[in-house]
Amino acid sequence: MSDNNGNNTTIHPDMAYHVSRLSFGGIEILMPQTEIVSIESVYELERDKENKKYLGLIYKQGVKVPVYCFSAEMKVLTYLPEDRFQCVVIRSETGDFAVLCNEIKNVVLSDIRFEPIPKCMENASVPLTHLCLYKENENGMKIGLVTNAACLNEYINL
Amino acid sequence: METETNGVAAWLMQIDRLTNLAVGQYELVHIVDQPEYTPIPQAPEYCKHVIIWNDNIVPVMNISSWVTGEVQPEDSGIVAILVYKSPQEEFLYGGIKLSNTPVLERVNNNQQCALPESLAKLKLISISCFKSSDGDVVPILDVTGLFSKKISA
Repeated sequence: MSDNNGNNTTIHPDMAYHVSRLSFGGIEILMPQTEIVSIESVYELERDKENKKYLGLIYKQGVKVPVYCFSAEMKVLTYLPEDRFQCVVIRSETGDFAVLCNEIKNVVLSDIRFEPIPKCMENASVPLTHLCLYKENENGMKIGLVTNAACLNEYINL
Repeated sequence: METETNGVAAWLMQIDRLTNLAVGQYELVHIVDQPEYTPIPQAPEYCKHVIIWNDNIVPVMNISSWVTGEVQPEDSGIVAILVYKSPQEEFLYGGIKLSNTPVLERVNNNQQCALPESLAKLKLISISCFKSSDGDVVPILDVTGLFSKKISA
């Protein structure tokens, strides 16, 4: 991650970085596994068609959790795409919320380098904390879009 | 060093059918053909993608889209990789989308000219301007300014 001066640091190749890879709308975002509470089925979703901000609710131990659905541009969708089967529940300081995904995978990344969002594309509403470059397989590197619960929560409430 | 007879070398880069931009010979470090783009959600329309080049994450600027304000189709095309320095003297890289392969041309001081009103928006990202051997007005790109801050839409 970058330090307070915005400089990059490289994580040692031996160090493993445990993330959940959330796929939806053709993009993938990476989140710390520690912020994922559970994964639920989309069948648990109770639609709320009046609400324009979230798609519906699920109930976790009697508590209402708002469920969000995003496009590839991370725009909030108020309809349910056919391919969203899983619902990841995320814990933020202000409460739990959930995001509908095509697929959720826990992965361990190595040879990873974090970089800040390039200054020329900085935008108050970019829902990412960093970009990263990681080794996907023997054939090469891949760019990862990194976020966390606080960042996503802030984005949702903008 | 520049002399009146031989000038300095600059790359002329065509960003769309009507517009060329120039950078110094050593500011353009590579040309990438058909790169694999990664879109960044909610990034400005003119700078929506990053690519991997030489183990670096490089933002790609579509200056034509910024000038016209038009959303342009996502085509692979050619990307010029430009180098600039951070305030900490690190080398950093940025890409710009081109519509054609760049051409190296020698430029003299006596080719300097004013930027016409039709290209006024390019003043925000240019340090100067000259008339090319073909008679085109070519702004010289401020590479550091272009990539080290968000440019106004």
